[in-house]
Amino acid sequence: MRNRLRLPRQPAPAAIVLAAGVAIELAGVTKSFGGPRAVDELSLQVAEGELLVLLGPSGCGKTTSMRSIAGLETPDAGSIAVGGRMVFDAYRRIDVPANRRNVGLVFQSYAIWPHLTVFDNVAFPLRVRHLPRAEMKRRVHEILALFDLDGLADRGASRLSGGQMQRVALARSVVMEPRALLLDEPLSNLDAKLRDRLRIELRLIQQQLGITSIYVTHDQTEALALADRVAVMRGGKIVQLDTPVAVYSRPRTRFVADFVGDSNLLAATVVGAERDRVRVRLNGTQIELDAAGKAPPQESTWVCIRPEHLEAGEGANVLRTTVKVALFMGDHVAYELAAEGGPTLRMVVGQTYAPLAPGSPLTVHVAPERVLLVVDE
Amino acid sequence: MSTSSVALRPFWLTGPRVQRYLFSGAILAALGYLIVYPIGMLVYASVVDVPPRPGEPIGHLTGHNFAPLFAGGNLQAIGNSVVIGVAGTALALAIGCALAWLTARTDMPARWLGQVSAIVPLFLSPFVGALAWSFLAGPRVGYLNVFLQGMGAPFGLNVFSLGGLVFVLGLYHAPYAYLFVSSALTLINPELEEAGKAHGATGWQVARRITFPLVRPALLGAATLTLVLIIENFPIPEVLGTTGGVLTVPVQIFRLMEMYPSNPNEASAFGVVLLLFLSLLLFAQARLLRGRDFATVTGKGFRPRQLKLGKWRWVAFAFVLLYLVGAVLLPLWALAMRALSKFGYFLNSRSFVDFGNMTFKNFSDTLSYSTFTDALRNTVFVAVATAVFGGALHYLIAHVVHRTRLPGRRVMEYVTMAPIAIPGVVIGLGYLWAWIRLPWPPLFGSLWIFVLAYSARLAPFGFRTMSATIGQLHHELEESARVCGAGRVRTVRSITLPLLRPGVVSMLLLLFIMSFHELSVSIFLYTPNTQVVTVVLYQAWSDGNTARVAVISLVTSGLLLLVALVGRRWLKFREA
Repeated sequence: MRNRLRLPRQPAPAAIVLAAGVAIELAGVTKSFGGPRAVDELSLQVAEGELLVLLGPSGCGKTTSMRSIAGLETPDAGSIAVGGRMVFDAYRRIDVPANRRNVGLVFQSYAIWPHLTVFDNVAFPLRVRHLPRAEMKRRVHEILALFDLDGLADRGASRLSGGQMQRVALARSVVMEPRALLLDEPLSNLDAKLRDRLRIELRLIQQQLGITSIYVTHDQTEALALADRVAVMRGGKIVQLDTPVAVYSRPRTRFVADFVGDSNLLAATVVGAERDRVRVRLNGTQIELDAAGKAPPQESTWVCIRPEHLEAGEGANVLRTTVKVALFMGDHVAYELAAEGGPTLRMVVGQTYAPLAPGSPLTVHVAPERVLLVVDE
Repeated sequence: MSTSSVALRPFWLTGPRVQRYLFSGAILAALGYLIVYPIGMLVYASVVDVPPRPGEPIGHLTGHNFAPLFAGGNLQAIGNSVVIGVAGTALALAIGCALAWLTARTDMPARWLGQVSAIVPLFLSPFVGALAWSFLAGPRVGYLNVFLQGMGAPFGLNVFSLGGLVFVLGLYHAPYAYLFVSSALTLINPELEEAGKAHGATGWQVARRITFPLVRPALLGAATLTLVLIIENFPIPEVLGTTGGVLTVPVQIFRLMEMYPSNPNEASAFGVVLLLFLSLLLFAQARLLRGRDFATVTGKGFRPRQLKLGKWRWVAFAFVLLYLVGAVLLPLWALAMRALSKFGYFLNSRSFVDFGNMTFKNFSDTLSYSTFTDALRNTVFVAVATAVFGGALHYLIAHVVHRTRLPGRRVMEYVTMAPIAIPGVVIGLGYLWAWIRLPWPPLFGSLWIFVLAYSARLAPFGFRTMSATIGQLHHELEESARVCGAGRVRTVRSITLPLLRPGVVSMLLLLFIMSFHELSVSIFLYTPNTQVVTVVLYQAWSDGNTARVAVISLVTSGLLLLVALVGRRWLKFREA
């Protein structure tokens, strides 16, 4: 089962543990295409049945990581285990080819074979595994029914809508009962409405089948909505790996705060600290804010305030502002505010009363525990 | 699953280091055998003082072979080649661009006829075209001249002249310019032109400031390729120029081999010079065009804007018709006339419809002429073998270059594309020197030497066509078969090839047809027992047996048109 790899022996990096309950494990995976490292000593564990989202801007290495797990890229170093089986290890020169890893992959383009029918597309993984005919038919029909595709079995794959193609791709990936399912921006080619519906469907089916999944996307809304855990990637490394709630409410770095969700990011300097309170001054202004938590190691830091955490009225951390622009968005109003002697801030107000006119003065405040201090990495 | 999949274990391509290198090495060895070794032998023959024939000594290094190239008849041949190349290219471009623009961008009537007219001359080989035009416009007795005299015209046509050569070369190379330019024209996003209109430009300003600059890279590409093809063309100058005393470089190379005493080393040196010149030309073009291929940036097909021609529609239509008549219909008519004629000449215009003057005897004579029927059988064999084996190699190389990361794939690409700069006569000469001396494998004197030489000569065409086809296939279609559990071979068999079938079939057909036309390589490689149709046709022409020339031309052209007709739904042309 193992092919020898064309790599020189090298010192063993972070080792794979093959722990119980871990379905996918990466240790020290590194890959470059002749330039800087696309994936840089990536280590990661995905639990059995978990849906992990790799989130990041294009070129952050998320797709390369995923393709390495599928066996479509050969990493330069590191090791990968799927379902308790070592599928890649640069040190021990193991490289199980893609077709024998039994990992499902839904491509961004769906890669539905246009010369085959829906049935034949879905049956392909079973055919190449030489399943008995009757059994193959039974399983394909089962899966087609699960994905609401039974009516389309004999339709040529070139005559499908985007949503149908997406489902065929998914059905084809799970029919072989893969040890893991990888999804490469599977919703990015669909229009917004369809995307919302399929997102829910996808999550339902994933939970129903209990299939360990890695989902790659650059869309933070999708990541937060679908994930059990989110791994935010940048420059081939994972910057933060946490639950969606934690990533959103406690971003570790300025990059994460900026990439996940909307935020006011302001450079600041620590001017004082008590036990669980830090006082910072926004750079270039006289504005001082209290933040909950421990003092960061450096004096200069970044402050992240989510637009929905600014509230009108007096309170702790008061800011005097003037309305620059107000946009009525239906379920909320988005403001752009000019703080006195300071920066421009964005604020979102949930109620749908009429927006304030430009030029109106507005006093806002933000609770100290909502003032997030993030490092600039 | 793991037990059943062991049987599918791919041992190649993904395999360990040794297998990867072995596989690459095998392809590179094949290319070395097909292309590098013969050209190497040619270069060797150009710098020694004895021909590399069996029984000759190894010889001494010398530069003397290059000295006579720039004097006397050789120098004149160089001059002729330059003049004919430039003028012929200009004519071919003018015709090709006009056809491309009319069919792609105007409301000319019967645009399909324009497309057909631009393609069909490719099936009538330039060789046959030249022979037919020698019947049509030979001085005094040419059929057109008979008509002109009948009408009392004070002048006559003479195709055996510099002008005649340029005319026929331009006529039969216009399709290449057409293919280049028309694909560029249909790839331009019409919104780019509409934006010009919206910003206040007139139709003419849009054409001059937007459309033309966008197709300029394609135009330059077409010009270079046409120039290369015209300069390396052997059959047309051989047929028309020899009679008229207008020799070109490829003809001169052939003469140096044919005359008594022959001068193989000088011929080889001339071949090397021609090869270097064409390489330089293509290199300059590649440098000029680097990163400027904007016409194909989008790669999508668009429904292009159409210019309303108004009353000029019929002028445009007449132009298309004129081209079809000049390149296809008149030549076929001339060949038919000569093939049916008892005596082979026509006194006046009435004698063309004098049925008493006609006979089928020429057909029955030639069709029972065993040299021809043997050659036809040989040609079919060679053309099929070239399409199958050559095509398989071209496909394999395109696949390795575009779909794998095997070592040496850049070198493969360069070597495969090299023959675009190698004139047919140079390949022929190289193959002659490469295999005439070796007792084993006994290629010389077998039909397989043609298969190898044609596969080498057509490699750039096959490789480019296959690359374009493979490029249209999203790599994820193949990768998804891999993650679904299919091995490399299974993936190619059940996904890649079925999806590429139209492209592959089209390429096989074109390889078959081009092999059928091949003369400039074959003329060096045939033996009395291994003749191909073009060689028999050539001999009939040099023997002055015009009836046989006409019949062979008609029969082979008819055969190929039939093949094209049957395979037309697969035939896809692109600039190659």
